[in-house]
Amino acid sequence: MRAYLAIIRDSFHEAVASRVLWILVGGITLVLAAIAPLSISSEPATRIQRSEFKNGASLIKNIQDILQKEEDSSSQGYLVSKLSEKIQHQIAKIDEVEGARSYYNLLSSLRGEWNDILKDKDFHQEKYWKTSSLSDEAKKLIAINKELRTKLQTARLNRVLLEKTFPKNLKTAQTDAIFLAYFGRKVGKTLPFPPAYVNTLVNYRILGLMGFLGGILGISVGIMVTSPIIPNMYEPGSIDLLLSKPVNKSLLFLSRFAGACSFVLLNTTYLIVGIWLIAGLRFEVWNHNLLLCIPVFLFLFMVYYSVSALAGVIWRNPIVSIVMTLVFWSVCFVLGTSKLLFEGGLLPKPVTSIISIDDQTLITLNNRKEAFEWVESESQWEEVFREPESWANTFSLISPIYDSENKRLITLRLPQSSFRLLGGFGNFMVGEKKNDWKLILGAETPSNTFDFFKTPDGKIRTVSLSGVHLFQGDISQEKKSFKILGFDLAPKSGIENFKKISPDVSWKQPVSVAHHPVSGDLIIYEAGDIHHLKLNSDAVYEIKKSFQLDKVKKKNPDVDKKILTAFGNGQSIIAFENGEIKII
Amino acid sequence: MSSSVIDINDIKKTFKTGFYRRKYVNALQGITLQVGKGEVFGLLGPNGAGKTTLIKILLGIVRKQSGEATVLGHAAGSRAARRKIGYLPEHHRIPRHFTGYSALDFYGSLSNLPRSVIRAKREELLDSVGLREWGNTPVHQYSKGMQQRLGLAQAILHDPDLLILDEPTDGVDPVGRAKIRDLLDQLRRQGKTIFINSHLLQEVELICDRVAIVKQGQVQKMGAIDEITHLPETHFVFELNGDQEMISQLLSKYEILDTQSNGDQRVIMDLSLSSLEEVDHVVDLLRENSISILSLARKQMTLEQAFLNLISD
Repeated sequence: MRAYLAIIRDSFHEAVASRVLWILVGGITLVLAAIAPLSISSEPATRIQRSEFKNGASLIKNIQDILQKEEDSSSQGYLVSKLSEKIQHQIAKIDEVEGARSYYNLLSSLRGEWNDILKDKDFHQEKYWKTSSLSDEAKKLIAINKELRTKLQTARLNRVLLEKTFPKNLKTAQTDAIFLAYFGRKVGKTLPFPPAYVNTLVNYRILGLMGFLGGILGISVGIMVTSPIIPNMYEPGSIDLLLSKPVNKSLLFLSRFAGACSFVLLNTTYLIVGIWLIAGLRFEVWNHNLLLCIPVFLFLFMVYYSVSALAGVIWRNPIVSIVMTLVFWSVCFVLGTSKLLFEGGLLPKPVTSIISIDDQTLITLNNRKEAFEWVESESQWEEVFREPESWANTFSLISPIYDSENKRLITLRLPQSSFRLLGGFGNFMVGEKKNDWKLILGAETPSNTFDFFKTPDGKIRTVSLSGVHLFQGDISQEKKSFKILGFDLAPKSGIENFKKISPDVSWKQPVSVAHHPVSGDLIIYEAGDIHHLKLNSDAVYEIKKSFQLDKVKKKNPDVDKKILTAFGNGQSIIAFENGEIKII
Repeated sequence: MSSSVIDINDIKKTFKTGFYRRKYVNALQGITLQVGKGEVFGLLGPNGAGKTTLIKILLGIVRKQSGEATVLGHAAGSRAARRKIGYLPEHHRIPRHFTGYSALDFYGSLSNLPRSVIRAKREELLDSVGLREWGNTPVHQYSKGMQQRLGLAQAILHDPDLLILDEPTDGVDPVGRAKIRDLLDQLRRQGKTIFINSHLLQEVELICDRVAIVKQGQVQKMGAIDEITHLPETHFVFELNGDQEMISQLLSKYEILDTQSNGDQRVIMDLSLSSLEEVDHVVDLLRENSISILSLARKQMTLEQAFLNLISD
């Protein structure tokens, strides 16, 4: 072992002596030093973002109607009169047949003019907006003399007035707007995200940064720096000396390989821990999954370095090693891009669920967690929200259900299997109409929960691998956490609001459940077995019957990972990933 | 099991060369030799004779095609054998980032020596090869001869029973060569077996007990230096003072092999004489005719002459 450790140590020794290690450490330090002064700051939101327009076509139509009137003394008429003649002319002339592109351009121009109005100190006229009907914030701003108002206060007041004027077409702005700052100074325009999305925004940016720094630049530099290690070892005078020692030839090669990998591991760890600390300390985004990038990048490097090392053994030339690695990378890139192109662009995104809300609104959700609402007036689907954290496939969403009593959508956000190492806890997510159905994180669910349903009396029950639970708390209340350096030290007691209403079980994946909407009975498929659970008089589930559905599936349960069960009319249906359907 | 340190029996090796049109080169064509314990053995031969291939087979760097070879009782190339061998390759390359000390640390670790042992030995070892002051100097600042001596130091660091040296004095200045010779002599006295491959025949003649001359992958001649350089005991060289013509006439009834004269009465004559009586008779004859005998010696051959004779056949 001593011999092989000496070879690994020598790889570092060589890197230190050739100053490559210092150059890389210096480069990484510069990158981190360049990123460190970045921060996200906030100020009261004023500017109108493109995404804040609702039903753009009806807004244009409204303005057209106002323009046709001889005189309009309403606040809408006043606002339209503030528009330039050019845009008034464009709006008056536009025709529905001109298409979406023209509408889009017109709305952009309109947004520009309205954003200019935000600066107008004289925009507020009492005759158009009765103070009594305005919000407390607006009343306070109006109470300040217009000459004494700051630019920000003027803009904020005008923004509130705009929202009041076209409430159906302009979304209510967030209280605060966020912007990027460098050394505390604002950089660029206000970001088109609410403050609640800082976490997501930073994660997105880190993802991009990681993709570039680690995935492209890091791997390229790593390959270039380590490419001579194997060819140098195979130089005639060098390899003869090494092979004359009592070492195993294969282990000698692997030790050199490991030496190069540990050199890259050191640099990758420095870079990623640095970015993780900056994200945590500067943006308060403690994304521990980022640390998983270290082994992921190391693995990626090992894949490419295997090619480089193989070329080094065959041709014993670092340049050829780099070229061969580049060829391999190009092949992988073309294959990966083709896959993305086909899956993301050319293939349609299948709708995974359709939710009817009070028989008036239809919402669909596709497999990429994008939700669309049917807008009857415009006869088209309009995007409602995108699941913000689906970016890294960190979580998956269960199809939402509509809670008509509380007028809200409820869904379950579950950690994806690859991240269960960090815990199998999920969360409820709740979306309300007033927030455009945007999903907000809610109560935590018991470990390994995989589905939930609502009973006819409005109660929520969850099903986990350990049994069935009844939820008794406030579903929109997120669990309080106690974090140090982003690590949640609060006990994982998300189940205090849950009451176990089934025997203790230990079901195995793959698992699927179907709920009878009237009797409340459950049919559970579990790794080849079927369980029928029935509610007793104490509203607790009892296992009424269990039997083996399929010997083959019992023996190899992982063959079909996606299972769908349905239950009704005394029959249950189990559908498997391979298209097989069983009716019981 | 053989009692020889190196026991090579009918080793053959053929190399394939070329990418499209394959050619076969017979590097070794059935070499057989034995090296005993404590012996200093020299392997001689022209370039391409297969000397380095034979050494690489002994170390397991190259695989033999057929035949048997054992080193210190273990199969040639096995880890057990390599554990007891110290090797200095021809044109070896110690990586540039090492210093004298760190190179010994590295190669010592490869021989599974604890670091404490290496540290205890390395200064003394560098002193023995004349590099005492150079332990902390990077290897890339070493001259060719210094690198060669450092290579020798790493070869003996783990106290091997067998030293295989491929051109050990290549690029080393006369002082360095003398130092290496002294070191090898010291190792011989310690009972180490030394196997040397060298072109410097004078060096080999001074160091080796036995040699094998290899040509085209075959042993041409093997034996002690004296055996290799031995000539029949009938060749005598006379250094005389007198007229060359007169001397030639006097000795005309004897077989004159060679005559050299610088034109000032000094004549060197190479004669073939069958017995000591004939030598006495020639001496008497020369003295009777007032020819002075400056010297008289039995003729010897150098290793270089023997080597050239063998490979030119």
